[in-house]
Amino acid sequence: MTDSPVQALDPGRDDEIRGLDNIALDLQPAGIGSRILAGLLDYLLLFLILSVVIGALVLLGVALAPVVDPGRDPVIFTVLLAFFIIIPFLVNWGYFIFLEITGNGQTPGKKQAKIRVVGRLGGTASTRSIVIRNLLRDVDLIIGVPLMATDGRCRRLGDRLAGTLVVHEEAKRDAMAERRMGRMPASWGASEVAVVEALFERAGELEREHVQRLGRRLVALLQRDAPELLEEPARSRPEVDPNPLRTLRQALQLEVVQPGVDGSPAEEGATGENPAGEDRA
Amino acid sequence: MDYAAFQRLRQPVWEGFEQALESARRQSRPSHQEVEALAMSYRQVLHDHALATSRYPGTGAARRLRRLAAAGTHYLHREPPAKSSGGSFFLYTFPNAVWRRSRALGIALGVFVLLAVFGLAVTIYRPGLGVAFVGTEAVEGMRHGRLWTESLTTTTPPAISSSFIATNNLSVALTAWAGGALAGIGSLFILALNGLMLGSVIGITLHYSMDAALFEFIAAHGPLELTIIIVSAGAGLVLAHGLVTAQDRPRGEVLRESARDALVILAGCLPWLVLLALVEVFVSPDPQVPVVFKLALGLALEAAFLGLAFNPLATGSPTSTGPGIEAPHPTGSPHG
Repeated sequence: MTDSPVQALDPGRDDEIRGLDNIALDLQPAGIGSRILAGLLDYLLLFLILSVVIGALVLLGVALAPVVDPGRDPVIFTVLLAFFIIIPFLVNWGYFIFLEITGNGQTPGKKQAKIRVVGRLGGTASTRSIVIRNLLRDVDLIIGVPLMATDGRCRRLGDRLAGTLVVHEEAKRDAMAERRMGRMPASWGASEVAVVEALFERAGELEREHVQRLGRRLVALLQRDAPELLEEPARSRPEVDPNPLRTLRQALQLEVVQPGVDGSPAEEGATGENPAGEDRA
Repeated sequence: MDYAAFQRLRQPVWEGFEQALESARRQSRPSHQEVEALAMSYRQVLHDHALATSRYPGTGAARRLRRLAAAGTHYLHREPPAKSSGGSFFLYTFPNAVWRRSRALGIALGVFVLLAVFGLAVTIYRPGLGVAFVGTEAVEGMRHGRLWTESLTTTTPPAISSSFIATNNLSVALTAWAGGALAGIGSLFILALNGLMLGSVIGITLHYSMDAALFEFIAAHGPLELTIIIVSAGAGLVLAHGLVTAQDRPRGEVLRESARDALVILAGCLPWLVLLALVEVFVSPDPQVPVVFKLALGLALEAAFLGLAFNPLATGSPTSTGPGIEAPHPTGSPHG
């Protein structure tokens, strides 16, 4: 939602969700793809539930047929038949409402798509809001997609009327392997830090050659900005460093921190990740 | 403060907040002290999030803080629940919403009556319109002195009929309500269709001199059933009002208010449809029940509904708030 700090601080943006002390929350609205995926999964599950419920009622009817005589037990007979009409009706209208209320804004489909319904201020949506947005679901099957496509927050009509928003639930990946830098060149800013973090985070997914090349470029950058952090031979010849990631780790005192252990650094590899194609000397 | 120092200094706070949040989530009712401590560290996390977003965008810490801020807000900030429940809903909340939105309900009534009169006039002049609505089989039945409504209640067990009628009427009411979200077109369509159908049915029964039988059948349930369809569609027009005309107020605010009132009006209507389904199956078709009793029951139900809906004793009667100038609803809640 916010691409830069300037936008986050722009008082003219009325679509920004702001929390306590007027701080922009920077929530990530779920896009059409995630919403449609979640919807498809939910409708599939709804279909399965309805099939099971109707199948169970049919089996119950068959099992009771020899026992229940419509003439002698009219109440049991008619109540059973009435279930055929009432239960599918309740399941059909109640599936989304019940699951979003009890699942803190998440149906099974939304859980799979990692999205969640929140209130207009980013909090837990009220029961009333959830009922409104879901009673309008049928209307949104017709006009929801174009409305989402033209809205900055990707809201369908039900969301607009209920004052709700569907947002991405961010994965805990960064928290599971938090990297902490012990030191860094004084001239380095967020972009350099982000590049180093991204390289270590994604090194396992990239080709070794690319990792090595990117690593050497960062070592060269380090050599230019703060050569005192490097040891020989990287300090004098960064372009031929045989193990640039290890050099970077040592120079920046980069540690992998496992949360929940008092913020203390974990042993390398304790997080289960491959330390970035790094050669172990 | 550089990024390394920021991480080193603030990470314990983030860890503490994350653990406290997980712990609170696991409990059904965390203690007051726990929530208070969580709210305090939430505030610190939120400030760190603001700092990281502006000074260290795109870094791992910024991403982590964004996630923590969103999770904390979701847990600590809950929209206020509806203030009324049960009796107070029908005594205060429902009539207040009906009074506030009486203009939209009046428009719905007007459209319905207009189309009903039109349908009646056209059917009297050309009975073909009535035939189109009730079908040739029903017309054939009327020629032999039988009303088509008999088949529904005599060939199927009452529980089935009442369940079917209740779910059908609920579906019509929900459709009429939700149809308001299409700029009112859906609600107006349901109103027009039902009005036209009523007028045509009255016209065709008059044509075949079956009007007395129709009157006897609908006397107990008809008035309220139609009233509820009209009110539900009127609530749909309330939704449409929020969509189409925001005047000088923020549209989001007007939309939320409209939706809230529309939902209250719908919720006040739906339970009556279940009661009406029972009346329609057990009382309306029963020839043993005198017409006078059916009429009295129909009028009593109508009076009960209208008495609740337009209860002048409810707080916020039209003397204090008129349609379109209602006081703003309380929105949001204090954080933490």
